[in-house]
Amino acid sequence: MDKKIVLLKDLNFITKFPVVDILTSEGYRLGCATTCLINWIMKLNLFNSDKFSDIAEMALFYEMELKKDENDGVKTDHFYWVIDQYLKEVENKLEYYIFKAETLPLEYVLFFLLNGFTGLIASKTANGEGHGDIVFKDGEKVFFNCLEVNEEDLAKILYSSTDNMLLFGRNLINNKRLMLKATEMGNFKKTLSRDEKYMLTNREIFFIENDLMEIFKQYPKETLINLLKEKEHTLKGTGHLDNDLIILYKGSGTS
Amino acid sequence: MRLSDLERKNVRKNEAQFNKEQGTREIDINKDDVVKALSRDNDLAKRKLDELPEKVRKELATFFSEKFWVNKEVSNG
Repeated sequence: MDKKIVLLKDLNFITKFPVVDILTSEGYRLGCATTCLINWIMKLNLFNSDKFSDIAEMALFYEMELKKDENDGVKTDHFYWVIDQYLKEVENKLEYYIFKAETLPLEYVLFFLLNGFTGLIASKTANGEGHGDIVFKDGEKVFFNCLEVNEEDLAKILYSSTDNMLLFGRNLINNKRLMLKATEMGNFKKTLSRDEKYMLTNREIFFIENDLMEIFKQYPKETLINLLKEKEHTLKGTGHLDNDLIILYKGSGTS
Repeated sequence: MRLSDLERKNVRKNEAQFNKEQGTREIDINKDDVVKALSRDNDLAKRKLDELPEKVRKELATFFSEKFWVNKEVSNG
């Protein structure tokens, strides 16, 4: 993947994201938090034309929002806050999941990448500073910004600290949710009480609350493919399946 | 991640060559540099890799390039 350093004024809708660095005409570099957020937003096709006239304006807006400290860095908590504000703005357009690194199994990450999610990784580094960047799958390859990574690199980056924040999102307009298919197969959605959550693992909570339990735990891959094939015509007709996306995933330890 | 970020994290410090013509410092940054700069708790990464079930690995194998799977042999069949 190209290692691109672009001028702020040259950012446009044919720019291939992610970019490595964004420079102003005066040679000032936008922060990694800003670049990361712009990469993530553009990769997810979530540019808000009601709010910004162009990508450069959006980039400058977030550069201001992410106020740097005297060391030219952004405080992690503030970065999280800005992301949180952004997520509130796009809650109807975006399906997303946030994890603290230590709670997220690698298999979920692979599942997310396989299903078109783009990850935003807010890392804490050894000297107390942070770094933000995105991870995504392009074809069969996985990239951390422009660098192709293997499973070991990916794990080292994602799990460089237990405190890293990992956010995986995908555009709801471009991707229909597996939940709809699960529902079609007679699944149910359940809101868990605090007591119920206490009794369950994070993995189980995630699956149950997102209506993924049945499909992951009870449908072996071959059965799932057949079920989806059978229902493909119906699902396309109802708008539940807008492309050939078939999610092939099964939780571990089940059959 | 750019050179100045890496240098702040004590990776590739003072290695970049100054290009007089362009007034820039130049060095090839690779994946290992970035991983090194971010690495902090490699035990966690190792544990997460170990916890990835072999069944899942096999099931997902064909969706990722062969180069992606380095940790254990994965059948694409």
